[in-house]
Amino acid sequence: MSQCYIHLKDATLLYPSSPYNALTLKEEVFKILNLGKPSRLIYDVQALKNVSFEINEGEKVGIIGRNGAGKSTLLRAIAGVYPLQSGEIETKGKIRAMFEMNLGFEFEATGRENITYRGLLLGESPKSIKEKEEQIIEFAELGDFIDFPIKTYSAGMLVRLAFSISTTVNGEILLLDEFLGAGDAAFQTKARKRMAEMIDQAKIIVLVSHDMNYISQVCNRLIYLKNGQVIADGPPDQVVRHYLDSVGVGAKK
Amino acid sequence: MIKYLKSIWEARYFWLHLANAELRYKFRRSRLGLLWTIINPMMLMLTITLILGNLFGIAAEDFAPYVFSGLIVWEFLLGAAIGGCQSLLVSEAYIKQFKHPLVIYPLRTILVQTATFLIAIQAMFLWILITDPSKLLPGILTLPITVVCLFLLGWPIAILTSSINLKYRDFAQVLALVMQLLWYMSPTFFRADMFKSPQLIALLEYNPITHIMNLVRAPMLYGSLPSAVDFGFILGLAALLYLLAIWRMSRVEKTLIYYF
Repeated sequence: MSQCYIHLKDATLLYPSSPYNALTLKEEVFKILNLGKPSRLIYDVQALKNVSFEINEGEKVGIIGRNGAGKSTLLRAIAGVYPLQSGEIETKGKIRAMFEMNLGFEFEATGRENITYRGLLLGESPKSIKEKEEQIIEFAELGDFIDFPIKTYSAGMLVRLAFSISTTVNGEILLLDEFLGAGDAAFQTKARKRMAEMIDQAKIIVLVSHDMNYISQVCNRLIYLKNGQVIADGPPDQVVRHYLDSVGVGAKK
Repeated sequence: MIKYLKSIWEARYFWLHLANAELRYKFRRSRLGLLWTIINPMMLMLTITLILGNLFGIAAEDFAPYVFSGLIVWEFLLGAAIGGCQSLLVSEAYIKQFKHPLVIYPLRTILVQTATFLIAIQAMFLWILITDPSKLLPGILTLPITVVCLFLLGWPIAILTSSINLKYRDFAQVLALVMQLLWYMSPTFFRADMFKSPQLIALLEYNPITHIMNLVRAPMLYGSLPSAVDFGFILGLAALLYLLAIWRMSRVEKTLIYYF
């Protein structure tokens, strides 16, 4: 079986401003009649500029950078959710995107039903979900609440359920966007262990995080993104140092 | 294109499940549940039959099934057009995280509408069982054709309205007004024998909705198959709608995600 990979070549992504610049009827009329000031126009945002890199099987890549650098956008582009303006992305392997945890929950449905939804959303068949259902319920530790509608859950319970479902379905390429959320202390320990297992099982990981320690531990390669461009790409220690220096957080070692 | 169709098939468990969930959700808290699907058109039919039937001098037993059959088809089309408007909007969470062909969300809406139609038409079957059992067999035999035709028509309508409404949120309101207008011109309660002027009769004949409604009326009221003209209109309309839907989606599908 041939190897998984992610290849990006000159990937450029634009967030168009047109959805936000659409004028209301009143503004159109005012514009035509030359009355009043038009509100300031929003311009297009170049989220990714000529990003190129290759990730091969076995690599665990972390993406770091300041807020707004384009890290999450990059993940979504790899996932195929956002289209590129120009350039190419080629991927081989089953992609599992773990972005926001609560997305895709149907609040009127029970926990058990939501397990099925999420699983189907991730591309499983009803049969394979049935098999994993018990495992998921056990990991989430929700007890009888699993058959209550999830709108009755507390925030922590939702997180436990979401995490439990998301981490049961494995993929060859994992895209993680600052995934580890809340949950009580006992669950956190379980969760980190589960994450570690998932990461070991996957063939490629692309992880976005602001936790420099965590990301240096988990990843064997880091990419530093700034304003949509790749500034550094290499072993974790080097790139972290480069990043910290350039943002002025520097040598407190 | 083939790849696109294949990806729709591959996501089949997902959209089937979405449709299932929406149907269950619709009746989750109501006591009468599914029955509302029948009660609603039935009440409306009674009102129309009594008022307009008297106005035009048509016997109630004759007029009632005519109106009812029109109503349930109209409900389907309304659901496809206006319900369709929301189908992408409400699926924002899914669209932003997973790469599935976007047409599966309007597909879910149409599946729900088709299921609703199948429930409502049971009332028709009950009626002809009591009043005119000879029409039962043609009704049952043509039901699959009817359902397939409605489904084929509904899906591109929902694809078009959902993609337009995502960009221009006013569209649903405008469409509601247009549908309201069409309602008063529709063959839901107008019949050719009500009119003396040939122009009005021609208007009825050229209205594609007349022919869509004939899918139900021909077998269940008159015991015959819908005519070639009926099918001609339906297939022609479907072909046009699919061309429009394919053209529209091939142009905008990738960028629709920015309009949430």
